[in-house]
Amino acid sequence: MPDCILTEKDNGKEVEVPVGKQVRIDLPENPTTGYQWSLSDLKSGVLALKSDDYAPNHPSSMGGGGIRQFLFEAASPGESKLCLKNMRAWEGEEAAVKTFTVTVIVGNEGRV
Amino acid sequence: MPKLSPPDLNKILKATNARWKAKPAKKEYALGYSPGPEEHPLATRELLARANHQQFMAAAVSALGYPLGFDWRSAAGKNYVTPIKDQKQCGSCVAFGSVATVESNVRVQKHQPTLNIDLSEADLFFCHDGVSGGSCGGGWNVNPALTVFKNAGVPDERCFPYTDHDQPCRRCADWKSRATKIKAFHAITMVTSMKAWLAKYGPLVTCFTVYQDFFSYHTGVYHHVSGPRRGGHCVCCIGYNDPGRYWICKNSWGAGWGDHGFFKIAYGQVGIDATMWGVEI
Repeated sequence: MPDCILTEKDNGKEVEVPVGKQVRIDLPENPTTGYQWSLSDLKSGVLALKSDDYAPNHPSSMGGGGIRQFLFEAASPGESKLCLKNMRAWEGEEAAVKTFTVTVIVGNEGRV
Repeated sequence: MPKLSPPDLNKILKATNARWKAKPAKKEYALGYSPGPEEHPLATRELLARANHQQFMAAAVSALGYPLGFDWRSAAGKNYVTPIKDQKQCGSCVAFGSVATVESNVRVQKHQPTLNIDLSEADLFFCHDGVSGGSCGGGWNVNPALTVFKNAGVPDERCFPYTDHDQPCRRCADWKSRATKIKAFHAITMVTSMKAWLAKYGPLVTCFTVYQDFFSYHTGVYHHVSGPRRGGHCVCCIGYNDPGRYWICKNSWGAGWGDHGFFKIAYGQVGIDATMWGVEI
């Protein structure tokens, strides 16, 4: 289980996690519409993307959505601003319909 | 004529989508057949072979009960398919696939390829008249959608314009007199019956599994190559092609996606031909 789970209501927030801990971002997504969350900015070194999964909420329905889960590990001390955009890949970032941002501050273990 | 090297030949084969590849020969062989005095010359043999093939194809059409290929965008030179729409952020593909199918079938049934028909996906998806409905996040299914079309019918787009979020039924007061109904619908599970129905009566509703690589489709015949499963999706199937072994479908992600909003998908791929639904107008 990750140490920190962020959802849509945490948009724009700043969170602090110690090195070695995990941060997960859960966002509602409906890929059958063509729209998906895309990670557009990841400062290398501070956070490492460990997994990128999608879990459907309504597997027996056509057009049903689910939850997109991005799991990060706090790799080294520093600050990383995560920016995710809900968009259609063929329409480009400028046509994104939602943006989710969160600033993650990674501190030395025991000091955050 | 200069001899063509295998790499050059392969370039030509690739450019022309040829169905074979060349490789360098270890040695050259002499050709050992020349037609005898009682036999047809080589050029005549080629003509005969082509004629035989055409005869076989024609026989196959009558034996199968459907043509080897069909596309309602160019049926006897006419386009019976209504314009590409965009469901945007709502999981209303069942409504879009069903409406697209009924719209085209009405044009076909009336023999009016330019008939101005634009039915309301919002009415089908958000009103759904006594049948359990869908939601933007939860999706829906084809059987209840076509049941609504059969029992209550669906009015024109102006009666209840589409917007891509969950909402109450806000249709026009005279929707009943503006509704288009279907007489019946049929789930078809035999591929030969799907083709026969499609070519004879009109487009079909179909559903399939969207995998990650499908979003990147641009042109050609889609088949799943990479990426995980992303969900179930419904569209309108408007044609097929036996020589190319693919279906032709109309998506609802706008004209900017895929091949101007359409896609070709290989037979047997990602559930596309598990079940299709035909409608009777």
